Amino acid sequence: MDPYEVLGVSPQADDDTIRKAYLELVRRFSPDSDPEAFKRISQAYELVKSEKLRLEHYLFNRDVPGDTPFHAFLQRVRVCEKRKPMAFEQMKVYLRKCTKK
Amino acid sequence: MSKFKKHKIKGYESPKLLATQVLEEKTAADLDRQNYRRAKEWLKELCKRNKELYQPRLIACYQGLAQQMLGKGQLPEAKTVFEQIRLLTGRPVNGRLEAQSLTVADDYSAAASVSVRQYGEEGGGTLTAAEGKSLADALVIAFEDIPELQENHPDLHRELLAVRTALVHLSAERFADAQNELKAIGRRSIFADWRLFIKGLCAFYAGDDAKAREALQPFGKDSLLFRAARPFIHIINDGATPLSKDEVKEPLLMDICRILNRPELDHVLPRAEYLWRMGRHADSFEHVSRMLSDFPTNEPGLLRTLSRFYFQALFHMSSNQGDKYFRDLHYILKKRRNNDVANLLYARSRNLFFETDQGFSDPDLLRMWEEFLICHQRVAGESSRLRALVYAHLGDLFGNTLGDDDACESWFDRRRKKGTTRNFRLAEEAYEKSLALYPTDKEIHLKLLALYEQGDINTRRNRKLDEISRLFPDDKDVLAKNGNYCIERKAYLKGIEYLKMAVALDPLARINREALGVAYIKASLHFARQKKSPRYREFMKEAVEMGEADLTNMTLGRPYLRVRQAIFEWIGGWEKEGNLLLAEAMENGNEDGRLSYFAYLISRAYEAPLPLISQRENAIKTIFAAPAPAVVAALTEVIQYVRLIVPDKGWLDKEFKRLNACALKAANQPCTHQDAEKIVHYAFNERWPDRALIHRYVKKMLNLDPKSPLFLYFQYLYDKSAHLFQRPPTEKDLQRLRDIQALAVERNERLLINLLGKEIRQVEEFLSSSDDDDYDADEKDDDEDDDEDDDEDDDGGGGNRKATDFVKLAEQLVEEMGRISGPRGKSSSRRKKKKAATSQASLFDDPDCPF
Repeated sequence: MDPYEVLGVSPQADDDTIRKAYLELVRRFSPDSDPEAFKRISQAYELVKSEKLRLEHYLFNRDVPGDTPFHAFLQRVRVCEKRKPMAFEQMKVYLRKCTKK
Repeated sequence: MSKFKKHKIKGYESPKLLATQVLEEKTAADLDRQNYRRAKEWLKELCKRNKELYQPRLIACYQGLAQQMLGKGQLPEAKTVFEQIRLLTGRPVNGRLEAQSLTVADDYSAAASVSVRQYGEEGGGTLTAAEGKSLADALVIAFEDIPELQENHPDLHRELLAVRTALVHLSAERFADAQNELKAIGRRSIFADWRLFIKGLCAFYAGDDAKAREALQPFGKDSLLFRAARPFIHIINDGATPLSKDEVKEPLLMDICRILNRPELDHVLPRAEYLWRMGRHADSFEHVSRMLSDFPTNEPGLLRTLSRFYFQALFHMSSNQGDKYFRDLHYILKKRRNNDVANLLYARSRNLFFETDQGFSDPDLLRMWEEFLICHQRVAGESSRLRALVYAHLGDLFGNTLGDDDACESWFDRRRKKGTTRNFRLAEEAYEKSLALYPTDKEIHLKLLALYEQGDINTRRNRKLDEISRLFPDDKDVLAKNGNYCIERKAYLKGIEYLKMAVALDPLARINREALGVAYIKASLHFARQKKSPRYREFMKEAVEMGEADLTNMTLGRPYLRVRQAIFEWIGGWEKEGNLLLAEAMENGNEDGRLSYFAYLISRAYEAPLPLISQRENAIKTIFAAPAPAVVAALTEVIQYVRLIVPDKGWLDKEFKRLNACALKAANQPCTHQDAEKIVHYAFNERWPDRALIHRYVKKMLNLDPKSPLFLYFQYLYDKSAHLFQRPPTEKDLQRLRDIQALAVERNERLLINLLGKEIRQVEEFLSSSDDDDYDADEKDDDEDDDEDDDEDDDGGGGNRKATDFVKLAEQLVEEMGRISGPRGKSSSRRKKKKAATSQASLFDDPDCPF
């Protein structure tokens, strides 16, 4: 996963901003409350905590965010984005659409 | 279908010519298959023969057909069928069909009104479960007030309002309020499924996937809620929801985009996904880039994720697929000029993809990375730090040592020779360019130093070391490097000073402490040979002070240091002092004879005076006279350590033979699991493994415990070593390893489980690659039947590759086997022992310097 997206910072962020975001996330997702998220956050931080590491990540990382384009999209949504319900009107349209096979 | 066409169909049977019984059978069969169209043809004929009996069945058949058509959205066709029903019955179709047709026509409120009217006509409360659910669906999706419902069925109206309000709360992210509203709906209500659905959505948006899955899964197939819940379940299952065979995935993916509030992607990603899955990778990329104007990009967000996906997917493809994708991407990007970001991402991926390819020369790679730097400058401006990192990367690439072609040689020759550098000149230039751009990068300085060490270029190495020392005077790594280098040049005093400083900066860094220990020992031996007793006494005193109390580490352990001290006294000409020190050392920790044996072997390794060696030999004679397996196990540890110090000595080979004979003699006596493990591991680790010794101990331990996973694994290795170069691993071997792993799991032997898991994967890969090779060869044979010579060459190449792979696998296998000696399971001290042994090996790995 993209470490910047995990930490919720821009790739242009500096060391301080990244550290602050990391500490904030670690406070929210402690190893006891959500070990998986904690591991993910720590791994992301280790990849981008200094300028040199950030540049190395930018230059040489070979990770793929998913197996297919849609999987990459789902992975991103799963890790980086808060799920937000559809607006009521959209929900209406969606449910009505589901009447049709 | 016209009558003319019907008669043209092969095998068409005219109903008129069939007997009533046959027609009835055919009708029943077609109704079972829900083939209403054909069933109605038989029923029409039957009606002609007996209207009273068959007309109700014909009407029911028409109703089924109408329902089927409505399900498929065929409204005009369904209306024709409605007309037929009206003609037969003399009244309009029933309310349910009418409501369904209104829903298909998107007139939801009329459909709801008709459903309520039908419910009223049927007297309420007599609905089947399915009828209740379809009434609830019609009422909810109307999203409007239905006056008849409010007047005639206030309970239903109250529950409907609760569902609607809960949906409003849900959309506004007020999940608790939504759940509260749902309390008004009973479990037996016709809205019970809607209650469950909304609960599931609340859990989904609150991130509780397990609860959401539980709530969203139970809806019956073909229901509205089943279709509505499916995309949510697909997201929860991370895209792994099974689809039916003939189902098209795109609508589901479109729904997912919508429910995730990404309507802009619902016409992009499903198609891109389809193309990707069809293997049309570049078409998928082109589709996304055509539909999304900002793609590809480096800016944060979903498009960046997609950009990363498309430009990095080729690292995870097979080389053929990757090559093709790369060529197609190149073609697409060439057509779309002036897209600097795309060119930058492409150049980066291309360089990383091809830098491991043998087909590219080193200057080509250098040029490709320089092209990347130009692209980067265009997009993001100049960055000397980035440029420095690129050159450092090129330095690493060109400074790689080339692998040994002859795998068999490395198999026998444990102490690998120094490899040749791939391209020394370019590596040096690249590192220097990197340092010119960023002179304070210690890591690059150390890499350049390592390059000089690798190339044995001492003048440049010395100069670089001096430069690093000047630049980083207080860095422990640099001090340690300097110290080790001085010791290598026999500048002991200076070396020890550097190493002391490194240890002082980080007293917990074990590698530096061991390096200092080695330095003290080397220096003491040197000064003992020069008969400079104050010097070596001082050094050994400091070494003992720094040492460790236990017998684990033969470099830093105090008892071993004292034995060495005694030998140095002998070498220095102080026999009496030497004997006193030796006696003192033996008092502590020599129960299993390890110190006596250590003293004997080390005195021979240090070429101590002969009287001392004879004295030590006499001392160990008693040990060898009546050996116990525990003693043998201890002695194997000592002799393996000494081999690291004096690798190639004839006397040591003889000593190995003596110890093997002793171990065989001891095999008749009772033996613990751990001692047997040490002995077997030792035997495997020899240059020429003593198969008799391995067989004896493995058999002995399997007699005691036939299900011991470790010894079964040793047995497996033993059996394989019998025909190491004749037979590659087979399916049988794989099964055997799996059985052993199952036993290891039963006994919770974690390290062994991991080791076996790794080996099983390697064997599986080997077996599958052999299958691929066979397949490739077959394919080639099919394709190139005319060119027999080429085919033969290909087969030969594949065979050689297989053999090389297998030899590599075998090498790894024995190396891995070495790792399981010692730390199996519980004790952390055993793990420490293993770690210590590993680091000892690395420090003494210097054939020019026996001590």
